[in-house]
Amino acid sequence: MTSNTFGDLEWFANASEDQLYAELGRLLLGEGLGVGGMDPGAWRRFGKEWFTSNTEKLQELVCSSEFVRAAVLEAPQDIAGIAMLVLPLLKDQQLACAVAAIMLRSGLVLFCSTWQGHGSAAH
Amino acid sequence: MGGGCGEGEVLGTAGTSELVVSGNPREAAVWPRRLFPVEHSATLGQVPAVELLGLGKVRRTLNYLDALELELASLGRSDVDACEAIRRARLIDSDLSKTLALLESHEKGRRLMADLEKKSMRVGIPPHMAPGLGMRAMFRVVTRAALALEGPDNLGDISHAHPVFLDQEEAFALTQTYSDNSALIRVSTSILTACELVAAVMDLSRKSSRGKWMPASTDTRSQRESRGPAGACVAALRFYLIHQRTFGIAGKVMPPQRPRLLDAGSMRPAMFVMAHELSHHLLGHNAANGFDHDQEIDADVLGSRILSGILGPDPKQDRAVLEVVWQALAALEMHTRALFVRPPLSHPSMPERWDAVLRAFPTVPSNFLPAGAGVSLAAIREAENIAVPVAETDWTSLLASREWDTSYHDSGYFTLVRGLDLLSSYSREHTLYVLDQLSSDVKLRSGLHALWDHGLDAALNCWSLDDQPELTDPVRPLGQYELTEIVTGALLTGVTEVVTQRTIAAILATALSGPLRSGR
Repeated sequence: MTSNTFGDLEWFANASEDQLYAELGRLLLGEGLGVGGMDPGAWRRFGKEWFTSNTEKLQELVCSSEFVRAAVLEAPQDIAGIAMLVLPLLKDQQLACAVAAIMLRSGLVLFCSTWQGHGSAAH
Repeated sequence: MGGGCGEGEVLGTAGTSELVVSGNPREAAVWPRRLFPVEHSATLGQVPAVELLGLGKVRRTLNYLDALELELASLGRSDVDACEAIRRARLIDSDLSKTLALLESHEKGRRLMADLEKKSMRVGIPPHMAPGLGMRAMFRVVTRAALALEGPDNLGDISHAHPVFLDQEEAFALTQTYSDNSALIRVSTSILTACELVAAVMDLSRKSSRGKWMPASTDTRSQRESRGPAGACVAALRFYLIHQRTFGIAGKVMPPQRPRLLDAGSMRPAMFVMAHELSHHLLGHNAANGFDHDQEIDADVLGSRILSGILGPDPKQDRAVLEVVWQALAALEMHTRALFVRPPLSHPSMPERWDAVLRAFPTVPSNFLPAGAGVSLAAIREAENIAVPVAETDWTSLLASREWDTSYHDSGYFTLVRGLDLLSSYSREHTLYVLDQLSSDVKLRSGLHALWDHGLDAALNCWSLDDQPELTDPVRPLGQYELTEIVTGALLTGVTEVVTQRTIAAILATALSGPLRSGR
């Protein structure tokens, strides 16, 4: 199990991409008690699939933002700032931080490059 | 999203329903109109709802139709953020993307999709919601039985349990309780499929018991070549397992006329899975304490009692309840044995679980086994022994069999699965030959040579997998699909064609799984 404390931005900033996806999956699925066994990699896979299938929704929230335009130039690793943008969708700060950290890992310019909205804010 | 967290809502008024259904629901003219609230469709009189939802011959005793009616009534209702469990469910609710992508990949699947969409549109239900409705209705049946068993004092706990069914992951069922005491019960469609498959094999084994069924452990070569239904059952189970190992989703080979499964009881083990999960919530179990075998046993026992409430409290039904529990436990064990390189130790063994449930039914002899259990277990054992490919005649029997519906895929698809099944029997030369046909990447070939000539560490080093502790940690569980994914992520990101990518990954994972398993 990946462990971090609430709002531990440093952990999100230093975690590997796989760790971030695993944390996202863990936060979404929870640890829970099951009827049969599952492998620990299920969180990482679920996190990755969830992020991919929700990319458009997240792009809508993030890529049109003036804040992002500024962040790309001035604070390209501002996890908390990006997390605030996705919080209305996720309604959970840890989830929002995990998602924001994943976006920032590859960079907002790349994340927004496939956005179908009006232009690309991060460009 | 149905089955909200408001107290009492999950139970509805189903126990006193005036629904006029007896025998064949199609004959009750009033039924479709009552089932589908007017606001969802204006043409309900023409709706073949039983076809759409696959409920041709549903047993009234399951109260399934009542539950389905409630689900449909709640369709589209806005109960946003009623509790943490619902909020979480909305975030992760399955969009069936993997299954839909698979269906879209071949002509037969596209025709099925178009047919489903047409039917769904006629009743005003979004096509992607139709399958989920049936599963949520099953959960309602379980919750009602739990309330009857546990009493009104537990209404709060029961009505705060919310199910979500996931298409996107390997077989699992998990319960998470949140700080507002709501619980999210996540069930993958894969585990439900496995339960149905095992139940169907058991059902078929009984029907074919007059000499036609021949378990592999006792048959002779000549019998094996012509064993027909038995071979088809083994191939159906293997199809499912290969799908899980390679693609991480449930292979859709099912008995035909799925709706009749409720009649045949094949859906009941899935209800036991749900009852087990609900039991964790009702018993106040907490995952934070780590895995606890006693908790699992307790959830099995309470789950089986809830199942008794569904099938009827009469002690004469005890054997029927135990048969369902056996099917579910056999499906779970099949998973543990066939889908893990290193199985998790989180749960007791099947014999331990079975013995504990048996003890809860004192009217049943302690050596009881359901009819057909031994024979179907032989089929399961053969199917889970991935090291021995299923005979070609068995695949042929599956495709030709009336007992199984293979219409989700064309025959070419079965050729692919058959090829993946053969991998474990390939000689080194043949493995390299197949690999060469699929990729010119010399690194893949070098790693295999390193594995065969110098062992696991040399191969992991060659493939740059030696920095992945999850592969070699002997204590950590490792799933077969997880291994496939790790290999794909490390070595095959440049291969864009999915079938090619997965075939190569299966070759490498098959080669690695033996040495990795022996590390525990």
